[in-house]
Amino acid sequence: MAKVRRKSIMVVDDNASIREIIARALREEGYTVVTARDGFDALNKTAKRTFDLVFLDISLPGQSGLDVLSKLNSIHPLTPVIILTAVQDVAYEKVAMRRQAVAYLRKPCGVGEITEMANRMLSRRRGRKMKETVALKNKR
Amino acid sequence: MHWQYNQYSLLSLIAGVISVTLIVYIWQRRTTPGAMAFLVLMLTVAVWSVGSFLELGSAGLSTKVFWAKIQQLGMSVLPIAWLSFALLYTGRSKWLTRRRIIGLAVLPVITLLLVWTNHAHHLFWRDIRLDSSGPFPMMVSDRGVWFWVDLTYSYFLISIGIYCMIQAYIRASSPYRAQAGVLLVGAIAPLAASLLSLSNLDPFTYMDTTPFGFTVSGLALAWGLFLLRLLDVVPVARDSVIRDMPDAMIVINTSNRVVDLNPAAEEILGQPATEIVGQPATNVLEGCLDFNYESASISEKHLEIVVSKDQSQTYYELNISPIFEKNSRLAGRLVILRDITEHKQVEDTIRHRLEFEKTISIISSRLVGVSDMDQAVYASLQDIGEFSGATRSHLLFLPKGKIGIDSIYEWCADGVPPRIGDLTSFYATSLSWWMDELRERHVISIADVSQMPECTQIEKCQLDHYGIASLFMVPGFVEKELAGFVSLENVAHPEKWTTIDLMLLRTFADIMGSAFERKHSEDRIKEANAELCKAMDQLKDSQAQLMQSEKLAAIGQLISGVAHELNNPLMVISGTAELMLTYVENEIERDDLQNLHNNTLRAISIVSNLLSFARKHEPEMKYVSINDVIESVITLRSYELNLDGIEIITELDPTLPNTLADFPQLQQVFLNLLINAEQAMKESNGEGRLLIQTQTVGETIQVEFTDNGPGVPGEILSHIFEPFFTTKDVGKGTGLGLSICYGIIQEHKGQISVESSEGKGTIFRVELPILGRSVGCVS
Repeated sequence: MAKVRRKSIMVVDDNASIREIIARALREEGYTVVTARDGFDALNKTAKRTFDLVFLDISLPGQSGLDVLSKLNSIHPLTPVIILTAVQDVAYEKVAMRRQAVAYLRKPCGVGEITEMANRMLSRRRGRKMKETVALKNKR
Repeated sequence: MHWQYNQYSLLSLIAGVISVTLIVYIWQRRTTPGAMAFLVLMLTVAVWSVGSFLELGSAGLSTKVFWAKIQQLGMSVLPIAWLSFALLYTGRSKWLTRRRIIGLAVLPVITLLLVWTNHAHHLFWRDIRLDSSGPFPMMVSDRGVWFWVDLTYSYFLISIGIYCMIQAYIRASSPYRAQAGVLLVGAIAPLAASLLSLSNLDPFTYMDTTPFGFTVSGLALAWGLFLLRLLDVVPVARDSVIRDMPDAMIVINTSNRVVDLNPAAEEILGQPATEIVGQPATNVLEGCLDFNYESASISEKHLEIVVSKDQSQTYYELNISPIFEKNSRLAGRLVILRDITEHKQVEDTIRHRLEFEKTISIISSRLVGVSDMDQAVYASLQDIGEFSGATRSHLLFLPKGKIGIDSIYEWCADGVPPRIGDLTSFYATSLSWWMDELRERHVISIADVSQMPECTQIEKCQLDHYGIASLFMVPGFVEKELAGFVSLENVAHPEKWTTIDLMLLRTFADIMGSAFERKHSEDRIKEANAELCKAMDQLKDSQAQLMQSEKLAAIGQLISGVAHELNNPLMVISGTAELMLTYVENEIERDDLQNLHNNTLRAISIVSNLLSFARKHEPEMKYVSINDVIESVITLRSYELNLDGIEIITELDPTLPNTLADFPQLQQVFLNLLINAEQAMKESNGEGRLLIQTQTVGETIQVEFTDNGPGVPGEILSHIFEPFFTTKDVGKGTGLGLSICYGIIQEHKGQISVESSEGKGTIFRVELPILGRSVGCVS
């Protein structure tokens, strides 16, 4: 049986606890997870390898998540990015969507929601191999 | 010259001295009427007396003859002087013309010429000789033909004079008896003296007593003339006064017949005295003066009567006074008519003027500081109408800068129908002519409409149509612009409008102008004041709202900071619990974890609420139908509502316009209100009815949520929109719902308010402005 490469996900968040809990949940689902604490860290790590999915917190120290999103897109245009945000702001969401984030997730959210989102994204990708924009509303 | 003394000559001397003294005395008072004639008379007496004295005293015949001739000078002139004086004295000065005096003088002049030329013809004295048979030598003469002629002529003239005097005496009324007595003496003395002289009785054989008679007469007359003022009043003046006086005098006897009247009375009665005298007084007075003499004669003594003749009226003051005889018996009545028309006119003018001033002062005091302007105007129009004798008066206001009529006030005299209803069309049709005139500050004064000129036919027709006989219009100006006019009308008869009417209307127009100007500015001030008060209230409201908003903003900032900090730990806690639930198998531990997870979720929900309250962002405005928002909310809650037994009644206005609003935010507001009502009704009754209404009120959309729940107590009502204020049990509410609603409605520039009565229910009212209406469509 051919070894199936495990899907890799990068989680970018400045809060270590958040980073870890998301990473743990995703790992439980069987994904390879790399964490980054800020924009520079994240960009460094994507320079060495590609990820199948990125969870990107929008408010980061140093440079904003939106800038990081633009740069990630220019390096790996096919890597889908899901924005995590604690800010409820329509304008922010609009900018994020324009910069080709695939989804938008509001914090705080349950880890279940994150893993579900990751599963959906990656299964779709597997099937169609193309980037889609999916607007998911925070149910709350 | 040889001189002889005798007592006769002394008498003449006395007469001479007295007459000379009188001459001097009269000379000093020569300005008195008749004095000059009296002076001449006394002069002749003096010449006669002195001549007589010298004749008697001288011894030789030739000397005596000489003095006799000198004497004759006085004797010849005396009758003329006497007659002249008597005529003047008895008020017959008119008769005494220069020509007549010369005529009278012709004969005496001839006499004098004959006397002085007697030696040639002996016509005057036939023979003159010295008679020494008596106690002293005397000149004795045989009288010639001319002597008798002269004597007759002299006595004739003197007699006329005496007659005049005696007649004056008889006529004189009782108060003048003393003067009349003097007259009598003055008339009889020369007569008596003359008779004595002619009688040839001793001792008068030797002398002529006539000059002495005249001396006595002169003394008496001088006394009467200067001391009793005889000439001033009686009889010369007295008759002429009555004749010439402007008052009419009618004398009526006891049998009520006219006995005498003066020329003024003739004129008033319009008939000559000859026709009136003897007529019954009643006929005369009633015929000419329309005055009932009989009824008035007894009681009234002093009254006014009016006589109309050829459209002009003459006023008389009538005086009736009884005339009594000496023994107090009624002799008749004296009626005196005095023309007081001029006096009356002056009196009328003054009375009218006073009335005018009174009217003006009443009007002006009435219109100063008045609250009920209409009432004051009506009363003033009445005053003016009544003062001017008009049958209608109007006050008309023109609107500023517009054509037409603003307001009309009318007063009508009793029995005159009002025409205020027709006035608008009346002045509208003939407006241009009237208005042009008035605008030029002309007064329109039409005394008689029937006399109006050709060029004003249209106006004349109009006036005729309304039966107006005369019209008077005076313009009024406010701030130099024609503001209206005051007019007077007379429907009964033509009226000659006077300057005093004009003054009254002018003054009234001025007063009205300033009164209305003042009233208008007062109203404007009141209006401005009301607006100011309103603005003040609005300011207070917005200040209160601003304070509320500021409070909210400050709380928001605080909450937002805290909530953000809470979010991450909460997410970690809930995430950890979630993770642990995936592998923990012990039931008790799982329950604990589930409990932890649930409460963390609740905490997250609270924080989320806090954040949505604190979130400060502009609503996303789109054209939305408020009815749609409400219906979506009801749909959202329909399951719970059914479950809780809450009935929803909607009265949504289908014509409600769309407005610019944030759909989800409004959803949140209405959802909040719905849930609040739901909970309140459920808790108190276990069921309830909620009425949701929408309607357009002016420029706003009004949404009302009326429940039949328990109501909100007053002390809670005032805090209901404040953040963290809640009445719900701990754990059931954050106390932020209504304050979030408040914030959202504020951002929509709307209002949210609450009314409640305990036990009956609560009404939440949301008012939203209709925005972008021109673009939006009506559903």
